[in-house]
Amino acid sequence: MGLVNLNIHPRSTTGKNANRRTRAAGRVPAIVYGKDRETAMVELDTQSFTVALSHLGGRAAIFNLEQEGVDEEHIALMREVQRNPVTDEILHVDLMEIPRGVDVTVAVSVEVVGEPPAAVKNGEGSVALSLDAIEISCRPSQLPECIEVDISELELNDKIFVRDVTTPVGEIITDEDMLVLNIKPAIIYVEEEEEEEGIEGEEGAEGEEGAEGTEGEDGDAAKGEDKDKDKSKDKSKDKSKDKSKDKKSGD
Amino acid sequence: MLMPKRTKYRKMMKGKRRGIARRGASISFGDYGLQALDCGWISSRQIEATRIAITRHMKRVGQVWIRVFPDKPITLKPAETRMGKGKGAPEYWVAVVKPGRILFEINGVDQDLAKEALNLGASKLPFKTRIVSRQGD
Repeated sequence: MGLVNLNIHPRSTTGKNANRRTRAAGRVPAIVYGKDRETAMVELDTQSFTVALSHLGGRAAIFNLEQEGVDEEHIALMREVQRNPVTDEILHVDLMEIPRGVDVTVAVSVEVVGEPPAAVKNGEGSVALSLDAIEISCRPSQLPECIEVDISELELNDKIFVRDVTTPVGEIITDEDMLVLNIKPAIIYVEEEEEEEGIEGEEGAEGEEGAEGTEGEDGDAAKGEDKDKDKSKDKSKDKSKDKSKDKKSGD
Repeated sequence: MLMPKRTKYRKMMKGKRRGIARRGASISFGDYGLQALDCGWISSRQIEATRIAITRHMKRVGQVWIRVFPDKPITLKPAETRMGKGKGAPEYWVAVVKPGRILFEINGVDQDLAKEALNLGASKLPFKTRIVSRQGD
């Protein structure tokens, strides 16, 4: 697998506002770190980085870092890409430098190949992928694009574990007892029909009870009662006032 | 319908919905998901209606995950009541949703069926949503 070239530019500013301005200028703030090297704050051209990501096509992202005025080239593994969950805008990138001539541990994506079994075609089951990527250790230049898992010979309820998977190069690091995929029987909801109907029926009954006409009638009746109460209160107050006045006049 | 089994306090303040979802914003279980693009409250009835719409269209195969839980009680005052006399009684439960939140995930069906089912489910919700997939297409 050939490495994808990525131009980096040194960055001196830090913080929320400076990074916001960097993004507005069409660049992505990033950081490069690694063993036996100083952490460097850099920025990448957004468009070229997006193109580089699309070139990877789901492969493990290892870049050849190039910097203007610096002859030395570095190989770096992309550890994290932070994105805005709504706009998908790239916010920040983490790059980890890999020393040359040393094996690296990288998560390589799993790709399902082969014709699906008859149970899947009939709708009796489905392919449930439990593990997206398997970690392997190998030289960066030998890194495979993906790990293929053949499902053509599987039947319903069959499982494939990490120990059943083979890689063309390198050594698998992921725990061998982990499930990669299985042919899962379709979940058929039989009892749900009655429950759903019951719930819908209840909803309808509630709707009828809460009809506007009945509410209005009740409301008017309540209003009438309130008015009567207020009137009786006022009358009693007037009576007491009259009595006190009479007493005063008598004195 | 979904609601907490027990809570420490019966009533809750309205709260704010500013910002975007920092958690639960990526697909974790299925292959396709329904992502909120606006903020809002989604009631337990709306969650149930969405779930029923999705599972019925999927012909009850595959699997559906509900990624939100209505844990916020909403109170209402009775109709024709004068103001005052304290906060109303708890009436229903909602989940607070911020933009970016994954609401539902499905698995075990092909892309076309998944999109149709999620579109039907999305019509039951009180805000804009979009369909996202694990592969990103």
